[in-house]
Amino acid sequence: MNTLNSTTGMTGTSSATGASSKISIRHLHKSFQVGGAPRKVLHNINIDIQAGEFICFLGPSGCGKSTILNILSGLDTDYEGVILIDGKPLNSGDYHMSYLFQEPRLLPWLTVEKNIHFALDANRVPVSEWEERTTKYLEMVNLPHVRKHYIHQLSGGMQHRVAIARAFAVKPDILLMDEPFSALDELTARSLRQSLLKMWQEDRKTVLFVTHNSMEATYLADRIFMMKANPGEIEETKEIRLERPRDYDSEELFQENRAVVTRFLEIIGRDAI
Amino acid sequence: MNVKQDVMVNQVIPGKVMPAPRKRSFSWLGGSGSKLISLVLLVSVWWLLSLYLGEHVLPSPLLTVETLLKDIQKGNVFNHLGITLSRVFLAFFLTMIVGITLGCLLGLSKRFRSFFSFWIVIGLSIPALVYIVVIFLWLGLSEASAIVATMMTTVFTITMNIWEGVKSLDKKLLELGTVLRARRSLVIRRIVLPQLYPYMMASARFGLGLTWKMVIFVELMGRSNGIGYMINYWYQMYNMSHVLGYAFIFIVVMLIIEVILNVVIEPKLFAWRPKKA
Repeated sequence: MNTLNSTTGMTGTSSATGASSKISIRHLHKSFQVGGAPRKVLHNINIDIQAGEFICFLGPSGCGKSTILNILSGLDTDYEGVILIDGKPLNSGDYHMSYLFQEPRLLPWLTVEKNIHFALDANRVPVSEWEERTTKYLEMVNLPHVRKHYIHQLSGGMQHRVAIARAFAVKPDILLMDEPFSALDELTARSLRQSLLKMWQEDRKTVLFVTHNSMEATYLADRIFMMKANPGEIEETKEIRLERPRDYDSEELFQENRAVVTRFLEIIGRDAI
Repeated sequence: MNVKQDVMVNQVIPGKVMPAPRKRSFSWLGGSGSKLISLVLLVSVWWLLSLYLGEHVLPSPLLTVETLLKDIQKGNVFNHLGITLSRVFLAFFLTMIVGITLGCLLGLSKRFRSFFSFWIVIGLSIPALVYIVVIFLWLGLSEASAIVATMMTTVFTITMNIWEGVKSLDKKLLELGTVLRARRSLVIRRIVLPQLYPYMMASARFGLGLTWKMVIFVELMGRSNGIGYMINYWYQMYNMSHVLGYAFIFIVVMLIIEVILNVVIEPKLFAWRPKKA
């Protein structure tokens, strides 16, 4: 397997591996100024992610996990290091990327279907495909009946579903998700995680999912990158070998989660809790 | 855990959703009954005052309308009205274009802001009369001066208003445009403009109201046609019924235009908004 431990700082062999990966990050550093003094947010991040992998970044708040997504999405361009997507530098290749934020970020002045059309338009999807894709992905998130509704007419959970439909509708090669379910109640979050996995298993996008919830990470991920804060570093990569589809209430998942939590607490230090 | 949230979870799967999109609301007009009584009362007060002050000082509503109808029959009321309206709309549209452009520049460009924001503040503080007199002196008593003078009296207020709107643009929605790699024109059309519409609408209503009052003033100062000129003309003749007649028809036309703006255009622009309780 392609597990890479950043703390060992592999450099010699990694560039060869990087070329065949979907996403390859080398020596990623990032700092910003806080009151005149530089603060290091990310320290020497080295990762390779294969096409179709579901990756979770698990870390305490402030460890820079969201920063990694912001850099990959192009929102944050101030960093050091090399990022390759399909072997080409970030933003130069021909790939589609979706970003699911913590909040749904739908445009309130557009109806549900127009929100999806907006994403399709932005990704230069031919107009002839809009209808079919909108129907398909709204059905996938169980919301075929709200097409003509405005956003304020939907509940919080439904808005997240629309955001998921929008993210998948552009058929992204890479899907970035930044704690998308953390603001929701547990029942809604569960049902959304389930929908997400179902959709992911259909066409296996590469997913990078940021969370501070170990159970969520264990349920979703192929691999979990465990991070510590100050500065943000990837301390360990944990592979989750549970079979899919997974059952959120199964004994195996529970055991696996316990192992993850134990290791995670060792990394961030018990007193941090 | 929140009970209300749980109920919403259950609603996600079956076909039950919140109310469908609302219908166009005419609530702006309020209870039309009380509005009518209020209008009748206003006309009665006018009529009573005219009895007290005498027809020469304040003509009665009836005499005013009679004079107006006679003037209309003679045939040049609509001529003057048309001239004034075209000045109002030309000045209004130019003001909106310049105001929106300046407001966007102030909001988006740091350089422009640090250099020109002071000019806007000064521009705002100069009295309308000063603009009108100075521009007629510089540019002569021409049609162009009339339009420019009217614009100067309103454009800075519009600029400030749009600037406020640009300042309050939602950064998170702009980020959405970036991560979707949306082209600039799409971001402007779908993300930026919808957020500015409320500010544009407020500016338009305010701008139109101010513009038409200023045009009358400018016509009185330096034009030889239009409602403002005619009001001044009949004022020189000490004929109040003609003065009121011209003022009356112009006010009615402008009110109708404002109602169209409020009842027809605005609900269409803001249909996406939650209905106010």
